Formats: sequence, C-alpha cells, structure tokens
Amino acid sequence: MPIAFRDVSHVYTLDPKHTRTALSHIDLNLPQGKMIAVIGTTGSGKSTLVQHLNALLLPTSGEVEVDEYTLKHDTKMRFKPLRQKVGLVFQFPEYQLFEETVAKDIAFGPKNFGLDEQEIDRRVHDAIRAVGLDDSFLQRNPLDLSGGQKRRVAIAGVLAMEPKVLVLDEPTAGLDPASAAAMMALFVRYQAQSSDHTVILVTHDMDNVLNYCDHVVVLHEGSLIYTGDTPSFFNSNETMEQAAVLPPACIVMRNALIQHGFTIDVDQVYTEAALAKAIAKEVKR
Amino acid sequence: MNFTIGRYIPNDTWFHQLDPRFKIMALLFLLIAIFFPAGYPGYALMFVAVFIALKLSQLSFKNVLRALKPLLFMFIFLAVVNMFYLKDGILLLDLGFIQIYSEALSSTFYIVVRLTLMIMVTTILTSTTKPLDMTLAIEDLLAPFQRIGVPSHVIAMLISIALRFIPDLVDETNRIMKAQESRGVDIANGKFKEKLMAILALIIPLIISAFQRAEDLANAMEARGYSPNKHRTRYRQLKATSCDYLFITIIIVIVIALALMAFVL
Repeated sequence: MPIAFRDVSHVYTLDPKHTRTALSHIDLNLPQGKMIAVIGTTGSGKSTLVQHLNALLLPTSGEVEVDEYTLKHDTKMRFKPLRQKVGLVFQFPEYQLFEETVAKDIAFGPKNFGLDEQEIDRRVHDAIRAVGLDDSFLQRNPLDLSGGQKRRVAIAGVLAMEPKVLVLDEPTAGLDPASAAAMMALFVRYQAQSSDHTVILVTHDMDNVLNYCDHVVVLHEGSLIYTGDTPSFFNSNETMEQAAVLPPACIVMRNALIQHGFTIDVDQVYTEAALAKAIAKEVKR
Repeated sequence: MNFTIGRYIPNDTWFHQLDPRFKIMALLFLLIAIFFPAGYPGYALMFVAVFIALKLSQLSFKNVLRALKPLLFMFIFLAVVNMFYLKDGILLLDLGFIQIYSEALSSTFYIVVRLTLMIMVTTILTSTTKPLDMTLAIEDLLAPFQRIGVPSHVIAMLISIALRFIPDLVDETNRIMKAQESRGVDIANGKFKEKLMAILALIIPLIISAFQRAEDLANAMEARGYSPNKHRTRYRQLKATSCDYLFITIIIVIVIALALMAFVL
C-alpha cells in the first residue's frame, strides 16, 4: 500500500489572526512492508504528519497519497474505507475505552466497518491473544483493568480492524521496560505477518528505533530533514545532531571503540548483539 | 469552537480596567432594571447605555450580535406561541385560521428586547473581565454572606477550577473524537442508532477522564496543603478607584431613572 506526501503543508488556524505551521512542504515516500520510525522533538509535527495518513487531517496544501486515495485540502468522501486500512493508535489510547466489556470494546471498530458477527468474533479472539492477554479478559470491564492492560486492550481494538498500515503514536510511553519490550515485539510480529503490513511508529525512544525499525523519518520544526534506513541515520552524527537526538548507548560505545583502534563495520554493526560479536572477534584477533 | 458569550477579549480599555466587583454589581443592578416595566423610552435608554458601553470597551457590535444568533430560533418560537395564545389588543390581521392581535406582537417584542439586553450586558462583562478576576470579585462580593454560612471561598475556587478546565476538556473532546473516528465512527453520516453510539463513544471516555483529572487535581492540591477552611491571603488584591465609583454611580442613576419611568410616571 503506497504512501506518499507531495509538497504537503499543514497550517493550524488558531483564530483568524493567528496561524501555526505544523508541516511545511513535506515530500516523502514511505516504503511498504517495513517498520518505520517517525522521530523529532516535541512540536516538530510528528503527530500532525501521522494524522494525515487516515484523513483525520487534510493537508492545507499539497497532497497525500494513501493506497488508491488522494487527499487534498478539499477532498470530500467517506473516509471509512481508508480508516479501515490505516489503523491509528493515539498516545495513551487507554482513554478511548468505553464499552462495558473488553470483548465489546475490541469489537467496536470491526462493527463500525460492517463486518459480520462470525468474522468479528474471530478477530476479537485473535486480537486479545496478539496483545498477550487471554480469553478470560474478554468478559471483564475494561475500566477495572490496570493501566498497562487497558493500553493493550485499546491497541487490540485497532488490531482487530486488521489494518494494512498500523500507526502508533508513542505506544510505549509510561510503560515499564518489560511491558514496553513486549509491546514492541507485538508490533514487529504484526508487521511480519504479511508483506504488505507496514507499521509506523512515532517515538522518542532511540533504542526502539535502533532495535526494531528499518526506516527512519526525521522531522524538525515542521520540515523533513531525513528519510532513509536506520543504520545510515545512526551513522550520521550530523543528522542526529540536527534532530536533537542523543545516540543510543550501543552506538556511542561502538564509535568510541572505533576511535580507539577497533575495526568495526559501521554499516553492519549497530545493534547490541552485533556489537558484542564484533568486539569478541576483535579481542580474539 | 466558537463561544462568544463568556469569552474574554484581551484589550486595555477603560472598561477592562474597571474593578471586576463593580462590574458584577453593575450587571446585577442592570439585570434587575431590565425587568422594570419602563416601556419603550426605558428600553431606548438602556440601549443607548449599552451602546456607549460597547464603544467604550471597543467591542465589535458584530461579535455581540453573534452571541444572539443561537436565540433566533427561540425568538421565532415565542412569537408563534404568542400569536396563538394572546388575544388582547387590536386585531391586526385575520388569516382565517389565525388572528394576530397587537398584544401578541408587543409582548413578543418585549421579551426579545429584554433577552437581547440581558445577553448584551452579560457579554460586555465577560468580554472585558478576565475569568480569574471574575472569581476574585465573586469571592469578595460573597464574603459578607460567609457569616450566614455561604462558603464564598469554596464557591470562588469551584468557579475558577471549572473555568480552568474548559480548554482542557475541549482538547480532550477533540482527541477522543479523533481516536473514535479512527475506529470507524462516522458522526456526520450514518443512521440514528450509529449516531447515538458515536455520542456514547465520545461522552463516556470524556466523563471518565474528567473524573480522573478532578481526582488528580484534588490530590495535587491536598499534597500542597490546601484547605478551604483556613484563611488564605492572596497575591492579587482588588482596589477600587474613583473611576469605579463614577461608573457605579452612573449605573445607579440609570437604574433609578428606569424605576421612575416604570413606577412613578
């Protein structure tokens, strides 16, 4: 499912006299079937960018192409079919729960898209297991669950729509490290399920980007400053500096080792496991 | 969202600088005076006063009129009801199925004029007074009633917290709406049942989060030792100036003039 931004700008009108440019002249092609990270400082336009993907926002100028849809500032159509293909999970999605049982809440999306009972039932069961909870949760009241469980149920509600593109805004914010890792593994699994599943992740966590994402998009004050694969991003100190990103510990260590005489291939080695292997090789030599 | 009533419009006019306590008192006097049966000359006087106030506070007349728009439907409804029920005065028009009498028209006109005036004076107050100043003033004005058990500080605190949360709740509503729209809720299109469901999907999370915020705020206040029963000093003190006394004198003169027109002449 191709996604392309062509000269997209988005301007918020606060009142007739005040406007704020959230995105300016974004030209961007997103690869399919990949884990994509969207990063940038607070207020750089990340959330605005991803809300264009399912037409919650329309560009002020330029156009966004998602699948067969072309979205412009004056596009008028039923956005439902598009929203079924692009599932968007907002920051702290646990606040969107409202049904009396977990099962009903997960079924809410699929029901809105008019699927039949049997299909909905299958998807509810698949989704609850995918987020690491079991069927015993289905009849519970979502408001009685813990924070982490609520978040999983909310994400299950979007997974049950079986979107081709899954967009997540800061999905691991406020979770403990173990839950965060489990959640990232879940997104990787979802992406790997099918070659046309794309996962787009808005995140501040560079370790998540490094360990789980194939492609990085960097925004700075509403402009696109980098789009490309993950290793080259972490190999360019200049880009990282521009994006106000502190390199992850593993990259810092690798670069320090190289500086002190280790021979390490920067294009191959950027995860902790690979770095450990490279060090072992060097030490044995 | 566009609220015209109750929205503060930052500026620095004579009217903005008036002591909020005097403005609130003036509003109360005028609201009472609007209901004096002072006839057309009385209302003409009121309108003149309101126009002068509008000019002094540099508010656009258009803005104030916009505040009246939502009431248009009510005005029409009132006019229709009056036409059916008021059969006094001179017969003006006989349409066969309905007769329109002069009394129906004049009484509708009175209600419209009164409501218009009420909204106009209230809008002038709210657009020239910061919400925080308003609560300070309410607290001060209620202070004398504390002796008979009116918790003036608590009331003022309630109002200021409520005002403070309005923009947050608007943001929250937008956020939840977007989240549910992403899950296929379509508020604009769809059958009645779907629309009802859409509203539930919005209202329930909104209420839950409002309670959550209230609890968080209460805890934060308690953690900082807040107690409504202790005497609190405050940083911002309201001080009346000669301008304020002049202002309230003018208002009282207007009210007395209206009372004379209504009850003596």
